[in-house]
Amino acid sequence: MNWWRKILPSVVLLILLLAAWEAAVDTFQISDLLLPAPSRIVDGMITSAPVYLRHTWPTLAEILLGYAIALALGTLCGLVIAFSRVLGDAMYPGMVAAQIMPKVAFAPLLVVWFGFGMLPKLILIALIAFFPIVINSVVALNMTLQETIYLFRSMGAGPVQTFFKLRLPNALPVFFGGLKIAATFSVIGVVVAEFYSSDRGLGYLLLLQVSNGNTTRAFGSIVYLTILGLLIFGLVVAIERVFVPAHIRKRFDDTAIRHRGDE
Amino acid sequence: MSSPFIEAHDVRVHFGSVVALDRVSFTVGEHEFFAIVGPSGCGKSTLLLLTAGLLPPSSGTLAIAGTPVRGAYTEAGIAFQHANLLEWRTVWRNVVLPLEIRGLKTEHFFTRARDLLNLVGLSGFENHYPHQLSGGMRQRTALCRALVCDLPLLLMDEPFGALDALSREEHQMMLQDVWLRERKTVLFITHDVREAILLADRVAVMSPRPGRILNIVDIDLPRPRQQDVSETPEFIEYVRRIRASLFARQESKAP
Repeated sequence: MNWWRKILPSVVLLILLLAAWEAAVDTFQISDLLLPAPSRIVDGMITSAPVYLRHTWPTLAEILLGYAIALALGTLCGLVIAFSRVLGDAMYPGMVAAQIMPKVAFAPLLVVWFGFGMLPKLILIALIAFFPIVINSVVALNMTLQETIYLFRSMGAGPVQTFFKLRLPNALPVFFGGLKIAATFSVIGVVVAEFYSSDRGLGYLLLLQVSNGNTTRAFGSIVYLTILGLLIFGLVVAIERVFVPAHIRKRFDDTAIRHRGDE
Repeated sequence: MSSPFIEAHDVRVHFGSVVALDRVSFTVGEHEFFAIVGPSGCGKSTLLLLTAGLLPPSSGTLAIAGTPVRGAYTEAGIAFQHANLLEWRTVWRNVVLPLEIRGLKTEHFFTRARDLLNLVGLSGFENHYPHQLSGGMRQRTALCRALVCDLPLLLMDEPFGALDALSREEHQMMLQDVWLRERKTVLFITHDVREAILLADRVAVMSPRPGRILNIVDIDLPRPRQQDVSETPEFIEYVRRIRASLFARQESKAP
């Protein structure tokens, strides 16, 4: 097994950084209010685990539901844009422009429109996760080489066969790239949405802890949110592994990372 | 020449104001190996797409087996310069793709697929993915895919253009072996004069922009031909004649 050789450097670096942090807080006597030591954060995460977990479930539910809405609508729009020239020409420039728009800016308006329930949170998450899914779907479905399409036509393949045997499998790596970006976005969406209007969830808890001056516990919330984000991301990666063979995944990995860096 | 199989009559193709092919007429006989040689941008690839029914002529007619080609012609196998294999499929599943699409998944055709892979030296590579193959092996996989349905026509557009000189020579000999066994009608596009003479029964010489057929040369060399046929006086004379018609036009254009 070679995988541990690959992750060993990053684990060592993480431990060194945490140790430096711990030592710095200790040496310079930094107040917990400003920057708590990692050991204190972990301690708080364990002792208050029931509180954290109680607020984790609503956040997780919002992410999963919001993400599911983005996935369904994003894929549908991607298919429509990729397959209908007229609708594509009408919708695609707007989609690209809308991707640049900061969607989180709608958070306060969503409260005005939809109140304090789950709905405004789902809408914000879906809004934020929707665009990378649409854009990547369109790019992915249009990636097919003209010559390969010619080959399919000369084999007598109809649109359905061409879709399932060529365009769809060819699109999957880039499509999953979009799903991964959307997964990281959905965690941003849920935090911002809960800041604005909530009485539960990790975003709400975080805001409450900060306003109470409990920086140590606030850091704990951030760690829980990060773990949540990693779980969602890992879920997408696990599903990708089922549908995309390893040698094709490998080829697209670098581009996916570059793309994520752009966002 | 045997009975005519492909008949192009006064075919003209233009993209906007650019004339890609101008008054192109030729006939390819059944079971004939017909090569078209010309410089880059002379419209020879356009001519192949036209024959495959993937591009309509602006005017003129093109008929295969007596029937005008309208829409994609599905009785031909095609091999391009780029192998265009599906990267997520193994060699075997790439080769049998046309069988899946046409609903020909019978033991007869599977046996044929195995025979073809054996003929081009790919036995034992059935479960390899395209990224694990050399350029030549990818090209041979594409050739098997083009032949697996046992269709009467094979269209090839510079299939060995991306290979290094040595493996190109090997692949030329392999293609000859396959053709001598299968006796398909072949329309073979190349910019390599030697390759055209080595493989073809007749060679059409094309001019660049607008693409026109300048000359059609009968290649009367015994088969099977070996690479060293290119050292014979007859071969050298064919090269001289074809190069002369290719370059004569450029000189006449100069003043």
